[in-house]
Amino acid sequence: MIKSNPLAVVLVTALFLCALASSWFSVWWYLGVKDLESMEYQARSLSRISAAMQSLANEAVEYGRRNPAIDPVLLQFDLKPRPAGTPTTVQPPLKPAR
Amino acid sequence: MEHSDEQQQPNLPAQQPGFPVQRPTSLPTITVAELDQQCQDLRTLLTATFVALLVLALSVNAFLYKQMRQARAKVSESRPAIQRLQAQYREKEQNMKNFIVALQTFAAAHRDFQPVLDKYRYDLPQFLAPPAPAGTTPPGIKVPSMTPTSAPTVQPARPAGK
Repeated sequence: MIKSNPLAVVLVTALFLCALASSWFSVWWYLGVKDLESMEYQARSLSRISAAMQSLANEAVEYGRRNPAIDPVLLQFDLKPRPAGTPTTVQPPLKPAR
Repeated sequence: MEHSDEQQQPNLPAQQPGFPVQRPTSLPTITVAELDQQCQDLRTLLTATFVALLVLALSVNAFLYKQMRQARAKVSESRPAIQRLQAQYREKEQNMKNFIVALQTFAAAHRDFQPVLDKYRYDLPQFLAPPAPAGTTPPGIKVPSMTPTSAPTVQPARPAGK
């Protein structure tokens, strides 16, 4: 066949190489999409946690309007403005959304 | 044909018992030139098929290559943002834990605050889950599991206030 039909041999070889390239591209595409999905899942998880924490802080502030007993906790985390002259703590701020 | 076969039958060894019966072929006579032409046609057809397949394969390759490049570009583009988010989360994680612990302590003394905490058990399972045995918490960033914890009331949290 190599001698009788060299064109077919060339075409078959080209097809084989194309199949190899297709496999290579497909694998890399699959890995890329998988990475992307994993990162999106992480981002969604972190955003969900942040949003839930923010919402909880808002509810705690809301609860503080009805029951001032929670005020020390809110003050400790800077969720409530401190009265003038009160010493501040070194806790990092966790401010409610506005 | 049958007539001539019948005439030759007495002379054939196939008619003798023990020999297979020779049957006349019903194929029309084909010349070598016609066979050569048919072979050439088949060869042309095969080559055309190969060319069509090659065009198809090249198109598929181009599509896959483009998709691969897009996916890799998106990954490279998103990775720094995700890393930044993770770093920010790590910075705030301890503060969030402290806040939850303070709220839980407060809720232990003021039971009317407990429903507020219970609402967030599903969204913050790593913070509000029931105390697990020591040494079961994995270090590093905790990605929340999708299975709800043993919260009696599972309600979605409201979105962050805007």
